[in-house]
Amino acid sequence: MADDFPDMPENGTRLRLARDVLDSQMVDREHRQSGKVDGIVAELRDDGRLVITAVENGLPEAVSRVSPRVGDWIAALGRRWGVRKGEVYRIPFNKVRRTGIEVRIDVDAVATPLLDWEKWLNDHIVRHIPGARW
Amino acid sequence: MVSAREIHLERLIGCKVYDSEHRCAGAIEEIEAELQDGEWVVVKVLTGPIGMLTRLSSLGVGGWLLGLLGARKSIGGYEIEWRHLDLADPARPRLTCPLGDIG
Repeated sequence: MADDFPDMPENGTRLRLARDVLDSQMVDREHRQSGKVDGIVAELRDDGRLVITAVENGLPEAVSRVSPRVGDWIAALGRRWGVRKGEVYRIPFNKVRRTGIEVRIDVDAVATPLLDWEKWLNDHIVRHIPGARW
Repeated sequence: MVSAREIHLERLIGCKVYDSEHRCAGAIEEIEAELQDGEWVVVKVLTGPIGMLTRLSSLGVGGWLLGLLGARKSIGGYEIEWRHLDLADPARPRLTCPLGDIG
């Protein structure tokens, strides 16, 4: 929908990252809730500019905000037993089309690891509940 | 060419910023980016209560309420331009100038 994916804003547009991006609900191009923004990655360029390159989703990244060491432990546990194998999924920032209460991302979440937990819960639990559909 | 140095911006939130004389400019509460030629570039960080009120979208209302209480001028915090910030150690951001120069 054109309204959901507007054109790139004008040069000079300002964005507040803690308020409008971090911890916001991500919604994919099919309007599926696709997890939250757990991290924002920026790249320090040779010219001194700090350029935002991606948003991240994944429990290790969320926990790392409280304690990087505990985040590493969670990632290690995830690699051993996790559905996503401890992977933090990164979405290029040029796929972020709208920010605010929701962050609209121009990706198909089903084709990414973003919905791996939902798929696992469906396959192992929900589909075994009598009358359940997903 | 692009430098390989990556910084996780979410980990900067809550970090206290000090100047070269160990004076504290407050904890980072908000980070502001600007669209420049198709890329979002960090231009400013906000620290202290002014940063928190901005992050909560309540600087206007909060400032008005504090004004009623006569405490508007006492809202602490700074708006720090990116060029004044040294992130050599992202866990310990530092000012590249004295605190007085950004007030």
